[in-house]
Amino acid sequence: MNLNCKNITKQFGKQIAVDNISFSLNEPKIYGLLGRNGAGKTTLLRMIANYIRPTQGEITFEQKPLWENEEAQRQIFLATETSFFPNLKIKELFNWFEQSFPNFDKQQCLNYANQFELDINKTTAKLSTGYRSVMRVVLALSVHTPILMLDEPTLGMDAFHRELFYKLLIQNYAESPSCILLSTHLISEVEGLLENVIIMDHGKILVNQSAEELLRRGYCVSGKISDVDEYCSGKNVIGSNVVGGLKTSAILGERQNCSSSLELSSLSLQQLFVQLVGSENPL
Amino acid sequence: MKLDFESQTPIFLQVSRGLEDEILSGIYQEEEQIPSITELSAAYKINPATALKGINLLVDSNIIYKKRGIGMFVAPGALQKLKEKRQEEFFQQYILPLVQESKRLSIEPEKLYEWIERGLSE
Amino acid sequence: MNTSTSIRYHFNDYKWAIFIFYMVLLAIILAGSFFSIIFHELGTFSGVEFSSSLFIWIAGMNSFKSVFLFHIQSGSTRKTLFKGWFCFSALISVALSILNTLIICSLLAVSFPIRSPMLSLEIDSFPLRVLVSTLLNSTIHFLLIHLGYFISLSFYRLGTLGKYLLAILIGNTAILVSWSSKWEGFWDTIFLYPSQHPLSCACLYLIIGIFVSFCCWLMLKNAPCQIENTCKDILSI
Repeated sequence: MNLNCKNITKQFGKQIAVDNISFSLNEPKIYGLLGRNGAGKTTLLRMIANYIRPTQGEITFEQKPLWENEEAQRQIFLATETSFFPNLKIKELFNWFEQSFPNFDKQQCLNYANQFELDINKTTAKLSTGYRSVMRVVLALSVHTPILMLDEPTLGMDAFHRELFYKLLIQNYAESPSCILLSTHLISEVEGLLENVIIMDHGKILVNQSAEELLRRGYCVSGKISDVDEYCSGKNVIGSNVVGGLKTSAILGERQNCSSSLELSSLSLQQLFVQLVGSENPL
Repeated sequence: MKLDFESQTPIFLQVSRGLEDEILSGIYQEEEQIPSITELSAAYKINPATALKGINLLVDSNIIYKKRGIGMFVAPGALQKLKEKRQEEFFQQYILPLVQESKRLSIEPEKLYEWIERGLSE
Repeated sequence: MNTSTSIRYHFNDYKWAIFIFYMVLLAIILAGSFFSIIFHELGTFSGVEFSSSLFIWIAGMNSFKSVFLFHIQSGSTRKTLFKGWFCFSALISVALSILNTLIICSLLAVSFPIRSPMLSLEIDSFPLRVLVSTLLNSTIHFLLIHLGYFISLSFYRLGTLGKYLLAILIGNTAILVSWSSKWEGFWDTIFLYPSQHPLSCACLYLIIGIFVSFCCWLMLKNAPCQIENTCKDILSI
């Protein structure tokens, strides 16, 4: 299973949404696709899902071009906020999905709908925002495609449904690993799940490495302002926070020993992300 | 077991230690089944690969063994092995921080001994 | 989805509309006859073919967006959508035409005062006339459904400015054609010609229909899948 994006650019009029990016997905893993609003994540996902065509560059799946490739598209599924559902009864919708995706498990789908308390006799038009997300997620969990892309899957969902979603996603993934591309703003909710992290900013890929490696790239030092400033001299400080007499600085680089008056700690993925996309000097 | 994503300790190590703690406190007896990778990762919202890495550490040190098709179990003699391992770590993990903190708070050594005796008798 | 699933999907989209259309049509005929009997005024009914043509044109205008979005989102391709649509359009055009013929012939059989262009065809043998008429109507339906689809697809692809231009163009066509006296002769020919040369007209409509359909494909093959089209220019990307 190999998805390869080579020098992909997407331009809408004068606006460049995706700017000459390249990457590939080869192994069944959970990838996090992170980025600020407008970074180009959704545009990228839509190109992989055959919704729009790249302005330049080519996306291949198993070495064959992806555009209008039915065989490939049967193995890719995208659930996004603007996913369209025809106004049918939900159970009818499940039937049509069964015809579209070879590995769609309808029994499992009905089971999930039950767990989420989704009334399958309702028509899609009558669903609330939260339940539209639920329906997207129920379909996504049942479709069993080698590549699954989830764009803000928990939008509008209540806390109970969100937790249920993560639990089911992990169960699904543990039982049959596939390539999951998870794009979300709720980084702290998913940081334990992600094996690889791709960070996009202004249409470009800023970071593309394993979560473990990424987290090793930075750390936090806190203590008295003067002590922290002394420690930080000569280091790549990407952000600071001062509360009263206590200063906390985020540093990129290998951890170095410090005096006992200072405390070192890890940066969470969310903190590292905020520092990386907010900083004036990206890596 | 509580996982801290901001800790300096990698998650898989936290999983490993967490399970060790649970075995030591008797939550899992020897020859008792422990939760599967799926259950663990779903419960703590971590990647199954991470959970597996943590479990494999315990398998490698003969604390856990896997029965194909059934699950994972606490190995016989695991409790003893864990106690020995933790005893070696006890000094680094508890004594040194204790002494450091007592120095920070200016507590006299005599007071410290008194408190330890009190703690042991309670 | 493969092509046959796509055809079934299109049919699923239409089945209620067709059912209701014919129910309404028959209800109108029934109501009309009922009132004629009461008021002892026997008028004549006509326009079954005209109604179905209008229906299929408007239906064609509503067939595109929702079906397209669903196809792409279920991992299908624009090619499959087009193949499914094309086959479906041919099948439905013939089906509606056959339904019309059945209705008209049944009404004629009970001496119901129904009029139809079929009766003014210059063919002696009645069965042959029915066959040719059905064929001719099929091609009219085919042309109209594709015209409707073309308009629908254009609106999807065009940006705001383009939509205004198209609307202005279509709107003004009516004024243009009714303006010149030269056009009157043209319209007479258009409406009389089929009854005199039904088969050539059928071929002509079919060819034009296929051409319009081809233009639709040109617009479809790179069409982006998006719910909202916020582009302000003439053509959306």
